[in-house]
Amino acid sequence: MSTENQFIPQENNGEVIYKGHTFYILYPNSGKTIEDLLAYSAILIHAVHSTYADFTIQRLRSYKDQRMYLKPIFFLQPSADSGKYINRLIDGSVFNLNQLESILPRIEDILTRTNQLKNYTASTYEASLITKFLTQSYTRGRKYIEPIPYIFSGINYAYPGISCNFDHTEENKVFAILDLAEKEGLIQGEFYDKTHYCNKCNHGALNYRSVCPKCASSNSETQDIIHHFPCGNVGPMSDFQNEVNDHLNCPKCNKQLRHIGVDYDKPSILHTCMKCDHKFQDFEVKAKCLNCEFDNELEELIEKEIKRYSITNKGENATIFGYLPSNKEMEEIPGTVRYSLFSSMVKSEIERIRIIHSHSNLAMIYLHNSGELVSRIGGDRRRIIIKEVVSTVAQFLRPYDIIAYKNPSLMMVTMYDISQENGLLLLEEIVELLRKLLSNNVKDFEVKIEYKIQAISTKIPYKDQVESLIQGFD
Amino acid sequence: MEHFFDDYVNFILNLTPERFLRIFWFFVIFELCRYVILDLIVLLSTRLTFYLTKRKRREAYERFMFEQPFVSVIIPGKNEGKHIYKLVQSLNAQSYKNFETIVVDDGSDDDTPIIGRSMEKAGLIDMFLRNELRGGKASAANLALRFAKGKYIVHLDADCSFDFDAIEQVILPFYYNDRIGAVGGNVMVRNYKESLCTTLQCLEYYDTISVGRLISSHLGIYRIISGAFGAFRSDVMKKIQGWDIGPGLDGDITVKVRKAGYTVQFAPDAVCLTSVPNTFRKLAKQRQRWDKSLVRFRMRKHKDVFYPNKAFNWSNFLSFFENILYGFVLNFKWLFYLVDMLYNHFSQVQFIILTNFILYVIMNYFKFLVFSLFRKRKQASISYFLIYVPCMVIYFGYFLRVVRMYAHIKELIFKASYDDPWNPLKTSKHAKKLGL
Ligand SMILES: [Zn+2]
Ligand SMILES: [Zn+2]
Ligand SMILES: [Zn+2]
Repeated sequence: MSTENQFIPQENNGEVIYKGHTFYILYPNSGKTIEDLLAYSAILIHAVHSTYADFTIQRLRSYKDQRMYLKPIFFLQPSADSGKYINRLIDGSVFNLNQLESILPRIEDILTRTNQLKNYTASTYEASLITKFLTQSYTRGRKYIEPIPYIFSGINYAYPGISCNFDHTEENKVFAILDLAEKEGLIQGEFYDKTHYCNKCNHGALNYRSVCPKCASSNSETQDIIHHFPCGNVGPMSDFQNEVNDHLNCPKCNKQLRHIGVDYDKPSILHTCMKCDHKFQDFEVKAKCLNCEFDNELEELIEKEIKRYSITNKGENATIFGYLPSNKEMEEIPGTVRYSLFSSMVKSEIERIRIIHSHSNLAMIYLHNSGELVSRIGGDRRRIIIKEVVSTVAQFLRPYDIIAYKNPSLMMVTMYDISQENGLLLLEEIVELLRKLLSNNVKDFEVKIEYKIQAISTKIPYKDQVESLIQGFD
Repeated sequence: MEHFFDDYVNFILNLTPERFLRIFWFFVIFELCRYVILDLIVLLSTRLTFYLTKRKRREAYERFMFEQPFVSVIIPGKNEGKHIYKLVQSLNAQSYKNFETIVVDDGSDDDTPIIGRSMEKAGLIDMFLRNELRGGKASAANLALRFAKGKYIVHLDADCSFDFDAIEQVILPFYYNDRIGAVGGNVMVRNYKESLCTTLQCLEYYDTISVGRLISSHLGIYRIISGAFGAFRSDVMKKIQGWDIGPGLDGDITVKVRKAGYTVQFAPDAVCLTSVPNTFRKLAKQRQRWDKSLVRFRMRKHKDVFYPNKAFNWSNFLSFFENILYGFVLNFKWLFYLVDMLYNHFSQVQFIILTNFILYVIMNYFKFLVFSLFRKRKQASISYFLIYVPCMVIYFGYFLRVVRMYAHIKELIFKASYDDPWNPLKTSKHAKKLGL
């Protein structure tokens, strides 16, 4: 330990400290939880057993905590090439600890880029997945989200940073995430390939095979049809064969077939089904799903365009400063106004109470686990529930009060011409009702709501008042 | 003109019975006796048989319905895709249901394969077999035959359509007795209103098929089962090993059935409608092919029916003899008649032609009206055809005769049928070499 150059990294119970970085070597059955690993600068997965290594890297990259999914992770002593997709999930590999020096620049680069990210929490499940693949790309200096053919993928192509979050039977949801990100303008797709999925379960593992059009069995025999010109006899090759030699003889005129194209030809072929004895010339092609065993007609397969995506400028900004789902969905809800409009309404209310000396309040209701709620209930039902929430809240307010959504978790309302104490009582009633509404509508959903009321002051700028109301919840 | 009329009346008045026979011997012997008097006698006899066998026929029908034999309907052809859908609809409407449909596409170069495949896939036909390389109609029919599972084979042309009970009617005769090896259907003209040419063919078909085959069948000399609609016993077909190379394979297969020791029946109630050539030019081409095959098959390939050997059979002999006599020899006799008249009665030839014409017109009207009583299935009213009957004299007496003579000479001298593009060259070459 005299000079840096002669420093040889030493493993101590899985831990390695080298040049100011802490490494942890992850062995099978190490007994560590993922939370235990968060503190290390980088992880080395002991990759002698590639099955273990492949599984572990996907588990770490799919972990919900950003500190883990962005962590520099390497394979140590990989025994075999794990293929393009797994190689894209790791940041490199080393064959022994002496090679740590070589990966230090990579680690430092990733850590520097990670530190550039502003800390924030995604408001929805979809947003958290979008954040995940955007930040993973950013910290690895990649401008593209590329589909990689992957044999264990349920959709035939794996997208690094996204696919590992789903079990292969549910991997089709990857497209919903990518489509949303593209709609939001964060990424821009271009055609890469086309692929097909099972109509029943959306899985991509299909066995295409030629089958009997009558019974769909793939067990069949194929024979040439022979036409003997002089006598016009036509039949399968077996009619003309004999058991003694490989000459062909015509059973109708007893002549030997001599020269193809001169005295006979083979005008077509014929398949015979070994299961139902049906004779046919055109196979039907069917695609049997290896996941659910459904035998798809080709026309009923789901065809999907696989795209390669580049990250847009907007996407890069969202990576660094945080991605908020645009409130398009919220704006369209009757009875609510935009966030910007809400602020300016507050501004005019301040003017109003300054003149008439009334009391008005701002309140907010925050639903902690709206991300879970959103990912558990789909589009139409979600809309219906939000509508109901809005009308429930509106019942308690005066007709000229306004409601706004900052994001799916955060609702803001005005409570004009009422004292703060009475406003709070009213707010408590509203929240109680919302709790009931949500727990009745979504099974096994634990409603975590916080709320706050704040009197409008004539002395503080309206923007500051709105900001202080939602501080810590936005 | 007046002068001509007076002379003509004189000519008629001077006709003693002897003189009439001397001048119009051709009409009296070959037309009146054979095609009117003999036909009428036979027709009356068929009617009598019909009443006498009523019970037998009912029993046959009951046996047939009880057995419900499986029937294979085979439809070989080239570029017939456009007709298949309509044909299959007409088959689906059949009263008899226990049959399979096998369509063979003989190397079509149009949409036929696509149409056939999709209909096979949709279950409208049971089997669609395509030969990428064209092999001719016989090979296409043989391919279908090879995979047909039915006890009876019904051979159809794709451009035909059928009365609802046609299949039932064409199978029924097999239950009359077990010597019947094949049954021919009654072919009528569907597009008879299209042109003068098709109307005349309609009248011709009435005469030569609907009535003519009823007669020849009754006499046991029925010799041609139309390719458009015929039924065959599967076991007999296996024995005679299917169709040989055409053209004229309709007639050929019938002869083969007869030579194998089976009889052939005409089923007047098994009605099939076909589209015939709509111009005289196309008709001439079609008839040349048919007429050449008379020479090729009766006089060349199957000449052995005239040999007094072990396989000799009087009805086969008569059938051929009648066919060759009326179809071939008399054609030339007609020339002889012409020479006779020009040489011996040159001064009166204009009166003879006119009288012949009148005689033929009268005969045609008589036949048409009287024979109509023996045709059960009628298309248009009899009056529709009345104005066309005189045209039949020219159609039958001149047009068809000239076409036939031309064809016979061509085939006899040049063996022209072997060069007919109707068959692929690869097969014709062999047929010519083997003298088939
Ligand atoms: Zn099968
Ligand atoms: Zn042969
Ligand atoms: Zn499936």
